Amino acid sequence: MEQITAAFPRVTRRRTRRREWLTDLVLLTPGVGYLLLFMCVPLAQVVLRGFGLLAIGEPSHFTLALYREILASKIYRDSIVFSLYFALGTTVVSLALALVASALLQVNFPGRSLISVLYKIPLVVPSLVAAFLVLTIIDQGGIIARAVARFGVEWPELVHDRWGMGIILVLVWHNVPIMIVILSAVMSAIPHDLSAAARNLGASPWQVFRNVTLPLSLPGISAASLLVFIGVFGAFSIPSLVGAAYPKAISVVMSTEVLDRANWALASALGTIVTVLSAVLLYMYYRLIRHQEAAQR
Amino acid sequence: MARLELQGITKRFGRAVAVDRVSLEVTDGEFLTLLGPSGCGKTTTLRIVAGLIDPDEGEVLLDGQPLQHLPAHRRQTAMVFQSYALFPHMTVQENIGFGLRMRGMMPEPIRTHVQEALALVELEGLGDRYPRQLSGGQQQRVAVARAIVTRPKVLLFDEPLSNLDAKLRERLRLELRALQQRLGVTTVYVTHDQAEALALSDRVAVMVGGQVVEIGTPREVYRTPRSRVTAEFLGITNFLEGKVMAVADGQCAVQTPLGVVRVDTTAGIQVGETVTLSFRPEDVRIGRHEGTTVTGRVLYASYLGAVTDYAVESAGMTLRIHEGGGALRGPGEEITITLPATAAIVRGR
Repeated sequence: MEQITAAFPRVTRRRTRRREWLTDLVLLTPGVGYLLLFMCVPLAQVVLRGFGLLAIGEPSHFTLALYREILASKIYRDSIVFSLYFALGTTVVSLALALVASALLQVNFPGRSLISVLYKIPLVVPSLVAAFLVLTIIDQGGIIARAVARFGVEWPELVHDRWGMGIILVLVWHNVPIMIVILSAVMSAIPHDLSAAARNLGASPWQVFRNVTLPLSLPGISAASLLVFIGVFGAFSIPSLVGAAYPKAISVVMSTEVLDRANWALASALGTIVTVLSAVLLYMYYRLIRHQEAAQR
Repeated sequence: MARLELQGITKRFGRAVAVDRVSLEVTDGEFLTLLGPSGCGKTTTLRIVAGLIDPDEGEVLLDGQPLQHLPAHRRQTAMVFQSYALFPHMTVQENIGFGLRMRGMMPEPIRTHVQEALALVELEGLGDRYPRQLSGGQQQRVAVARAIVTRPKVLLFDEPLSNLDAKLRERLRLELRALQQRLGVTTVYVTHDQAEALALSDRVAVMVGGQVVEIGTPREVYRTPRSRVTAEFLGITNFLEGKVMAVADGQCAVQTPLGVVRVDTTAGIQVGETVTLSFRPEDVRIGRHEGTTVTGRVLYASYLGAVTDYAVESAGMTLRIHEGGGALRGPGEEITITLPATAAIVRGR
């Protein structure tokens, strides 16, 4: 008798649980279904294609030939290295500028509100427009070149150059405001008393920045750097517009492979490399953050 | 060692005057408290001394030398903040050693000084913890250790005990006083808690509306306040307005709604003048004693442990009386009370 009464609620519980599970599934479908359909499916397709699978209208079999081809070719290798180079360069330069600007924006000075509006302008300017803006200023036929030419100074080539100066310049122009938005939000969340206490204990303004503001902004610094790096690493429009003929950014190479040669398989393999590199970086970032948080607990 | 002087310090925020021509002198090794309600300008005054805020007018002098040209980090005025302002990303040791490190001291002597400071505030063994792993009281001690380890000329406290529970506050109050006396460091302490001010200080400066209205030893400001605000801010008091009838034999007779009250003060009192008398509730006694006796009716009585707090109605006025011991009297009871001759005569608002 006791066993029966004990078993009875268990059965109903299991049944309700199954019903709840179904309800959960139905409720999750719009969100998760969207993610599955529009993000995971194309991503899986790209990855599989890179390994020679899922090819349409071609024989489909697993192969590492595409990756071997990429690694063997100097053009592809250079493009990956070049993309990493200007992504890193852009991130470092933007971070340095954004740190200085954000730190200054924490101080009250006349014209501060005007500046905090002005610096956001690049956020609303499309990167293509930005590229043209920069071109007209720093290109060899641009405003600065013309101005200094009068004094017999030859303006160096900063656009379509081997070192990607033009690319980095435009990308920095575009990414500094994004970083400032993130960094100044993080910095203004640091209690004022902390910097006051540091100054009171004998820290000069630079020492306050170095020992208090900077370490306490680390979460924001790493998030902003990551965001900019990953975004710039796969950037297409600006490298294709102001980049040199060689080396080309990886995204530019990918587009050439698809548009000029209809080589979807190779473009997919390159795309996989970009995605994996970004994912590895993201993973390392979370490891670092978790490590930092664990150290302080 | 260190004498601190404030001369005519004024600070405005927009149109509001936060600090209004404050002049003070803190002698070497003295513990001075700025006491006042919130928004009276006491914290602003403290931050001006620390160099965290620049005054609009006036000067801060340390041992006769003006501090105006010295930035905050060169002032040697260590401050304990209300929020403690401990650096969350540094351990207790690193927090305490911060000031020494900023002054370019080598790691080895820093460790020695930090250990000494930890021992002084009885936090040995907690050096490797992070501030968030400490209780409020422990954090407060770290903040104190961090301030004293730099051997400052002046120690500044900005309501350092206000975030602690009552019992801990009382204990740390005693510890702070003992520590300050042991170090003999000139100290300015800001609080809105009158008990804290009385217990800790050599002298108390009462601030209201940006101005120092009164300054004196705890006993002076409590027993013989010169202004109404001081009397009111430093605890419960009974005010009695009246007209001076006669001044003779070191006493003056004041005609009040409760009859003629004799007071043991004559200094500067003129016959015919209107004055306000201030009686502390513990000075007013139940029964017939030496002094001026009046009759009244108990409105309420609340037992507080050490004393019983009575409100007594007499001639249309309500008097507060604190009686230690004695029989408990209920509401409605008719009693005789004695107003002692030790009342303070206060002027102004």
